[in-house]
Amino acid sequence: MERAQVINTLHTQAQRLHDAVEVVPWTEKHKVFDLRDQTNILAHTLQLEMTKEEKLDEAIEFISHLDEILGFIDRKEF
Amino acid sequence: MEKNLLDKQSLIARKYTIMMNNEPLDLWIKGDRVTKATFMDRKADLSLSVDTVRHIKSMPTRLVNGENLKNKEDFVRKTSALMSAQLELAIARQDMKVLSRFAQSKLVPDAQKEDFLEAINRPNGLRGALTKGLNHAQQMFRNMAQRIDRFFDRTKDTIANEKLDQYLKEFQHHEFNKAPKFSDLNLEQFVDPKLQERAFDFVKQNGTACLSEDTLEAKTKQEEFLRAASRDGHSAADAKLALGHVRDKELAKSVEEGRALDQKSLTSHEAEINRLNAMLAPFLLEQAKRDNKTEADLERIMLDMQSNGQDLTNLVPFVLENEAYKAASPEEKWNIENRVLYCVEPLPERALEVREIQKVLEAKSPELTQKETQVERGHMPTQDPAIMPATLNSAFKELREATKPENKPTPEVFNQFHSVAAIKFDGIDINALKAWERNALKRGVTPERTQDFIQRSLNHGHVLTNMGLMQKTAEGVYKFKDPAAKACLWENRNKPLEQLATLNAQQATRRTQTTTPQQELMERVKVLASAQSFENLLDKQGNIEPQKLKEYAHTLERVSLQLREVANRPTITREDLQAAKAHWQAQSHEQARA
Repeated sequence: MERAQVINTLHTQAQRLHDAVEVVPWTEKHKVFDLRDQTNILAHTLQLEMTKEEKLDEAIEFISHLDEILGFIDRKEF
Repeated sequence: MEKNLLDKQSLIARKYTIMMNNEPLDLWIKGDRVTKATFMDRKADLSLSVDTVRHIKSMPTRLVNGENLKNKEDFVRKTSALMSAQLELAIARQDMKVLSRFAQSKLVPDAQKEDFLEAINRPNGLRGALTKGLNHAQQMFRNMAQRIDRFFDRTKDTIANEKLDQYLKEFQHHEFNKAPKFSDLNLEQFVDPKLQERAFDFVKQNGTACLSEDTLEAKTKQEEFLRAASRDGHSAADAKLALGHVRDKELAKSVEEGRALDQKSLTSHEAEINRLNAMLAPFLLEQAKRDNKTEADLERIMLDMQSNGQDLTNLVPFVLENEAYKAASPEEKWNIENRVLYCVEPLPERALEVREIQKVLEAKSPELTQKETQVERGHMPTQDPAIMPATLNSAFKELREATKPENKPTPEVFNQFHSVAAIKFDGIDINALKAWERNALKRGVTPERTQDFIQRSLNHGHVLTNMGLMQKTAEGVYKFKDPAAKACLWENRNKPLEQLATLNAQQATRRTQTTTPQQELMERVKVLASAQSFENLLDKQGNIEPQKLKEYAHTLERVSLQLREVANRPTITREDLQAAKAHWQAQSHEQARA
């Protein structure tokens, strides 16, 4: 996955997390918020930190975690 | 009064109840802050922002619906954290009262109510996944923070994205300014290839002027490119890098072109200088003639005379009157004379001329031999019958035995050996000698001996060339001038080399003088009719080789034509032969009938 693609995915996932706050149980809302913020920060960091390619791998792993979480939310498996 | 009342109010904590999905959250608010909070009859720590507190306080009643506060992120986030902490605590303490309350409340989704207690610790549920995700993110951020401290020092606490953005902008600006030099890096590797391609296209469309940092127009265009790129999901930094890379390439190109331009201007300057020098030359010459002080003046006059084709004896008066010449010692005078009067000819050019003459002389064979060659061509057999392979091989073997080191050969034997070897191998070739040397070295012959042998062979070739028997076709390659020369060498191989030239010339003269065309033709016919000629037509298996037969037929045809010419008879054509053949066949038929 290219860096630009990773950044785009992160932005999309951040938006999805933001929307998911509405539907998740109250006990988990703050975590979703935190995740959203961290996703945004990660996306921005990747945009800024141009030379550190090793971050890409971490980010890709992070994206897979987010996918898992968003999968739970989509299936409403709270 | 009002102020006192407000102060009094700020001293009193008021209780607000916020219904979170029918589960009450009690808050005691004093002034603009929350002093106490209870949830599910358990005390909790909650510190809401002033803005949120004011919003709660602005509600018409103290019983507030939690749904009305959902748009306050601060409230949602902190309340959620509080509830989560309560749940965690209950799980840790196995507080069934709190847990069952959670299970019955609307805080837990209906589908999970029944197995809430089981689901609460399920690692692959949302709770587990979220916790895992958060832990992972935090770990990752800790790693990254080690690399970019400055960024995370400012954003260590969990802050909203809006707050973060301003720092990001600042950081971005800062990063822009300290970007590495374009020339130091191969920027292409850091940029999305599509974006890079786009940057190239952009420069193609707008020209290289748009890469300039000096004009406002160029900067505006660059800005447009950055904006367009960021609209399509690329970062501005990447877009700038891509442009930088294009600029780098253009710069390299222009440097090359600049060099070319410099060279061009340099040559034009040279031409200009030469033109001016040419204009100046007559004046300098006049001055030199007038002053005639230094040796340089003399040289200038000399060069002028040379270029005009004048005789240098005209320079003598100038030399005698030259002040430097007058003041010089006899030895120095001699040197000056040498330089100016006698050694003015360009020696390298003369040397080249001499070499050319030498080449022409070497290529040209003696006149008599040339005459001989004219007679020989087309009439003489290509191989002298005297130099038959069998005879040659035996002679060669004998001489090889004689030239072995233990026999202590005399120079004559050596010369004879080299002569016969040259005949056997049809000339002397440095490449063949080197090939022989390689084999000889493998057999254990010392390098000194092989070198000596090669040198002797080449010297022999050189001597034979001087005698007019051979000619040098390339460096280290000597070939016989013609078959007659080869035959002469063979016949006179026992004689000293010094006599060979005379013998060759005499033989050539003799042949030229004595042989008549008719005799020569007869000789040719004799050779053609000899057993050796027929043997030559056969290959190793004893079959006739078609090519050789064809050549033989051609030679026959040529000889027959020449014979007719010599006898002054009409030439027999193919038609004549066919008619004769028909006549002969008719005759034989008649004979058969008879």
